[in-house]
Amino acid sequence: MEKSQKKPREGGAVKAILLPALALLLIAGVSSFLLAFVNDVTAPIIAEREAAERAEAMAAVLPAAATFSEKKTVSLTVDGEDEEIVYYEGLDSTGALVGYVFTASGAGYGGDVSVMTGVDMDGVVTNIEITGINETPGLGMRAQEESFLSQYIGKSGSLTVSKTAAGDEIQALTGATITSTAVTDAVNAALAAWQTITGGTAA
Amino acid sequence: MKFYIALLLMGLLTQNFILSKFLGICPFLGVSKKLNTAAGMSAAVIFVMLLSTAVCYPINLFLENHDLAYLQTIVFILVIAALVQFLETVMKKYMKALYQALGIYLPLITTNCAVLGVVILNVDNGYNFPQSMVNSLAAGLGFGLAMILFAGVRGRLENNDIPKFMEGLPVTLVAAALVSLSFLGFSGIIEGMGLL
Amino acid sequence: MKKQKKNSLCKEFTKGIIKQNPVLRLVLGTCATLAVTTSFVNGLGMGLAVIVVLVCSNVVISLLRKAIPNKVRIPAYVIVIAAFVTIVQMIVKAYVPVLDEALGIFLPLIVVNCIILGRAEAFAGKNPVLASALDGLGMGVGFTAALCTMGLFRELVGSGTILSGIQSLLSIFGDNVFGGFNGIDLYEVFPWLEKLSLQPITLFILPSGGFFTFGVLMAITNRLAEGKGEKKAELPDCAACPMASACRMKPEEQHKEGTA
Repeated sequence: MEKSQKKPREGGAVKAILLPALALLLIAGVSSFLLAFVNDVTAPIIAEREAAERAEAMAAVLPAAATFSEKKTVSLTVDGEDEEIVYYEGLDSTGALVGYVFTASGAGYGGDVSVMTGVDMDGVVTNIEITGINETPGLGMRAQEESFLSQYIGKSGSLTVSKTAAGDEIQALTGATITSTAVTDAVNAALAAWQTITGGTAA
Repeated sequence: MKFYIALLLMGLLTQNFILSKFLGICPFLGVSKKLNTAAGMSAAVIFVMLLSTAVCYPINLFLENHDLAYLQTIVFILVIAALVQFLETVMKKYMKALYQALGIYLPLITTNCAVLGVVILNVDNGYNFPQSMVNSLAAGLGFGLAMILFAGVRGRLENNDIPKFMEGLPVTLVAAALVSLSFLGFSGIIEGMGLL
Repeated sequence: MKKQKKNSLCKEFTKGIIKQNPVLRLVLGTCATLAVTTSFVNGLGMGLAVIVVLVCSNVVISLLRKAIPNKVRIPAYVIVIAAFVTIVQMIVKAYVPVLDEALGIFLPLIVVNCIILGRAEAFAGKNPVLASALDGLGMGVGFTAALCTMGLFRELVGSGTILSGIQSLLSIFGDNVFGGFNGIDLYEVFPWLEKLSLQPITLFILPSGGFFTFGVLMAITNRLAEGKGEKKAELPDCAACPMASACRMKPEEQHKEGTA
């Protein structure tokens, strides 16, 4: 390392420039080839795993459903912006519609917080699950705890967050109001989507 | 507009790259001894962050459109390294004064995780081009703020009696803990201003 | 002659664990150290990922050391390292997705972890394959040990759990290894903790607690090292910096001001 390493200088011999460039190109080519190969092997496994996780989460947020429909979308206006919300219809063993599962997100500190919300036919939240979150450990990350998530079960209409949680409000996590609001925004978007789909008002 | 202000405030205060995300710790500990070197390093980092984001954004679009997203890491680090090298050569030749001020820090920036970090974060968070640029600016400014503040803190540390076993790096890290703790006090600001 | 060789190989492995521990003695890879040690499992996962990348890149770089032109060796090293990092990233995503979520951006950022490029430049680029592999393994184990220590402490004090979520790592070996052991929650084992309203000190898993824990750990290692007549750990100086050859900072500053 102590040797004085000279950077490539312009105007050098062709060999002095061509050879290193060729070596780099070769290494980069082999690396990319290797990566493409590993990607080919792992990509289907990753996709399969994600699908399995999604199915598991869907079953958890809408336990009444035995099977789910294909992916559907509904567009609605949230805060003056058009949003596309993905949802699945939940069917019981006889094929009757028992509720919906929505995937929506709210803006947190570390990007979007993605939430899967189960809503039954009365517009009541059956359960929610967080599918993507990247918040501060110890603060926002605690949104994944059962004690926080279970607050949403049985709620309907439009939810609000507060630090002192009076009545029907959602109690914000200590030191992580933004994350709490992000989750609530996502649930509210799901509930709004429910209204758009069913045309009904919550019980 | 609100979102851009939120991005700026997050980068500067609540989600500070150094004090809350732990990106760019090496220069934070290594180059914060004197105020002028801290400022020079920060300026170089801001510059390279903005430039890398501007260059990597279209490249990433290309990669994603061609199902080559798995090449992101390797392409980004090479682009950043090439960019820094190119910048250094150009500066040295045509902008002597700027080279004296910033150029000496450039080689150190290639392996600075804050630069690669901001590029990857922009992609992960799905920011569009203006959002990516503002986020990079905010990250760079936050980096600078922490560097400059900490240079001041270290200046004060120098003149104090420190228990022998804490001398050097340990006390520097504990001081960093206190600065980081004080930034926690800003955590309500985004919500208080209703920005997110 | 043979025995001597064996001894020196053994030394290549052990030096990284204690004497030249990359985190606590050489002060390299601090970003990852501070960021992922919010729990033991995250620290261990990060450490394992680094071991894989470090050993693989050391071996490949050592194999190619005569083929890579000196001028472009740093970019060549970076490509090799980035390729292995991406491979590890894809494998983690496919088989241990929980870890991928926990490590987040710090998984791809292994590329710029100074330990890896540092070992490539300081060791693998000049030494034979076996020695380079052992060097990488030793450094990786040293890194992992430091991360696990910090993770264990921060998790215990900050969330009141021990080895929480370990099953996600063990699941590589099959379902319900060790009877589905998934860590200990002190508040379940000792319910009286709650009654005494002894809460975990959340601060320790916050960023600030990371700096603090690292500082204290560094003070302890310095003390131990001094007892053995070793130098204190200093901020990374130019000897450890992979970019030293390209660096043009003034010599008097260079002494103290190190890597990026």
